[in-house]
Amino acid sequence: MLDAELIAEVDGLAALAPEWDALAVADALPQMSPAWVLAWWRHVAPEGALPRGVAVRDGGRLVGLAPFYVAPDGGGRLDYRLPGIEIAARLAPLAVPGREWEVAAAIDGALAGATPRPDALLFEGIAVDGQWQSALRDRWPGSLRPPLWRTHVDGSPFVSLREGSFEAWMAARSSNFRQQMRRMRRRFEQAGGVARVATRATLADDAAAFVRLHASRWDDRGHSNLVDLGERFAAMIADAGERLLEDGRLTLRMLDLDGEPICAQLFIEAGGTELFVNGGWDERHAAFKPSLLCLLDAVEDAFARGRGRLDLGVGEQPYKLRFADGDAPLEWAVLLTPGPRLALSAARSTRTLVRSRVRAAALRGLSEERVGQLRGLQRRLRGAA
Amino acid sequence: MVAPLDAEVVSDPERLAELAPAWDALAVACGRPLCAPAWMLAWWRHLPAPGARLSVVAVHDGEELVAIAPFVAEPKGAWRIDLRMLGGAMPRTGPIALPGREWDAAQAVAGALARARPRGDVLALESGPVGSHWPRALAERWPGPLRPPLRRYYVQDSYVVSLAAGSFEEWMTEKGSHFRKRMRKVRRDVEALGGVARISTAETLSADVAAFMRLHASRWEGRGESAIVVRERQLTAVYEEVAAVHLADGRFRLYLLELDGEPVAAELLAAAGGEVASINGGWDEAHAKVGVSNACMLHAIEDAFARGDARLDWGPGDQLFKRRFADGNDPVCWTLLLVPRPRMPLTFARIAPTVARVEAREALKRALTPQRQEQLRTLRARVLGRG
Repeated sequence: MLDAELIAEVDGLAALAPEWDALAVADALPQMSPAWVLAWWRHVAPEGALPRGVAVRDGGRLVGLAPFYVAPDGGGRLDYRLPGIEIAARLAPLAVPGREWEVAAAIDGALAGATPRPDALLFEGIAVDGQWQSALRDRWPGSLRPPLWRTHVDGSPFVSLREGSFEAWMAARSSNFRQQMRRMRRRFEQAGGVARVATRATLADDAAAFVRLHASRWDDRGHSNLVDLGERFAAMIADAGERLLEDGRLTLRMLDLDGEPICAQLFIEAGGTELFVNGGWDERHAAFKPSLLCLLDAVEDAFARGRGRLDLGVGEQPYKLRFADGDAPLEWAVLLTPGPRLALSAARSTRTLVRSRVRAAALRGLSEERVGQLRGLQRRLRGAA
Repeated sequence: MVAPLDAEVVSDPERLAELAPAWDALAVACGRPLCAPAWMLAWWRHLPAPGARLSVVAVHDGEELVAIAPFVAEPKGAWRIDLRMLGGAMPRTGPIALPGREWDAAQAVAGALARARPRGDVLALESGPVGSHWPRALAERWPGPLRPPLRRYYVQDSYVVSLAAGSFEEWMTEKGSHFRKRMRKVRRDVEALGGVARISTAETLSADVAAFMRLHASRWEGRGESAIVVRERQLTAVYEEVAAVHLADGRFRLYLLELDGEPVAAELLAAAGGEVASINGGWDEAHAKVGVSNACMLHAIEDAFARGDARLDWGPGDQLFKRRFADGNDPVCWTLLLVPRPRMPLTFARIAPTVARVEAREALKRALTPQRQEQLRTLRARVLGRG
């Protein structure tokens, strides 16, 4: 029998950090590590957010942790969410591998008695092949099994690193890929370009450069959550870096030209999985293909450090697909908890569900060209607004 | 990664035999022992459903087999064809692909199945891993404007032993002192009676399979119906055929515990890629008090450690004897995918009673205490004349 404790203070979560980190490492989920999540709480959490974590113990040992928080405004529906979807996906509760289902039963029991009572658990960017959606649904206490509404799926490519060495990996790519990558590196070096990673001394400045470069990429190109966060995200990087930089679990890759950063890419690591969080580059230097260069360095470094996987994050952008050799998609789903407000919650969720279904149907029914035209129109309308 | 894949629908057993080495390599890469061709093709030879036809989708990337979806088309009366997995509902079966290629392979599989004739009405993914990409990937990547409705209607616990401890001794140390004491006593008691645990060899195989069948059947006497008992002759042939391929490489493991040269407990397991799957077991009720079944299971675990396996899966079902040895749970589930076509509403109406019955049973389980559930089971057994 496991013991579940509801934690309603950020300090209470912070006190679990060493054991919590061991779970993040065991599950290879760097985005759920305490250094990352606690930095999110300090710099990025929405105003009014309330921590509602559930720590699950077997005897004295922490065997599971679900660091939920209550969103201040769920459109009248009280949502329990996992922190950090503004920044990175593949969010999930943590458990000793193999114990997800018993941990889920303990989490559910605690959440069913939590105050305020959740109307919904949101799974945002959770692994499609994960256990948690099913387990938290199946183990919810009471005679009614909560409805689980899955809204949409997004691809999330990765580099498996199964070749064992960077040289073997390159040899397995097409000759066109190899030639292009080598040419890119040569041209950048000949132009005096320098590739480096942020150190403790440069981290704050590099994080600010990251935010600036990321924002410049999104000028007139739609919406980015990171742009909205701005300096708060730079502060979060610096904060998480305090704890993760020395162990090589946070890497901020920079490309400099004439002493000026022209590209930045952020990676975090746990349990052998290196996660590409996001990046940005200076459009004026597009000819150097800085994002490809930086990613190539990341692949080489991942092999050198003996990583098991390089997760390229949510979204199947062409530059990621050039490197990827696998896809581990993510889904968005909502678990509506049984209770007196269930009908109301369902009614409030219907709009989102219908919108996502219509969008999915349109994507299935329309040609890629038409989808591209519609996306362009949507961007223009947003720009006009 | 984005290059289109070639999907081939295979209905010729000879073509499948050609694919078997690459197919087997996939089963090993995925750690899915019962998805290996030796198991699935032996099943097809001895236990095909009436009127069934092979509809296996092999997916190649250039010369490399990257996925295989071993479906068999089974007519279910007029106007309905179910595409089920080869091997019936053998645990943890399903399509398999190189890790990371599931979604592009699913697109190729879905496209091939949508074009295949006769066309399926239902894709039944039975006893597949809960954490599988395939049901969702097949639904999402099915061609056409309609996404096939997907219904996961049953989830069943499947207890597992992680062999990450490194050695049997370390694993025993990690288990509680109560478990250790109990298991040591079981071993002492069995040894005191002259008990010997062994694994089946080519010389003993036929007799051992017969003993396994006998011990399994004796466990079920007066306790209902066992799928193994009712298909004893065919399954004996399946086991002997699989053993002919995988006994030597340790991927077919039949453990026996003997007292005075007589088998009193047996445990049958399959292995691939570090994963060991228990198929079933049996024991002589006369020696149950000594714990002969526990001794046999313990021997299987010890041997798995010695062979460097990663995990032992006791298979679906939450029986106490499985939970006692387990340190994790990795459930399996039953999922139906309805193929969009004009007669889909009719198919939906035809599968609805099955799904409703299972879901009602599950709802009842949630609503009733374990004590009430046991009373109902006893009552049911009496009504059916099994009590």
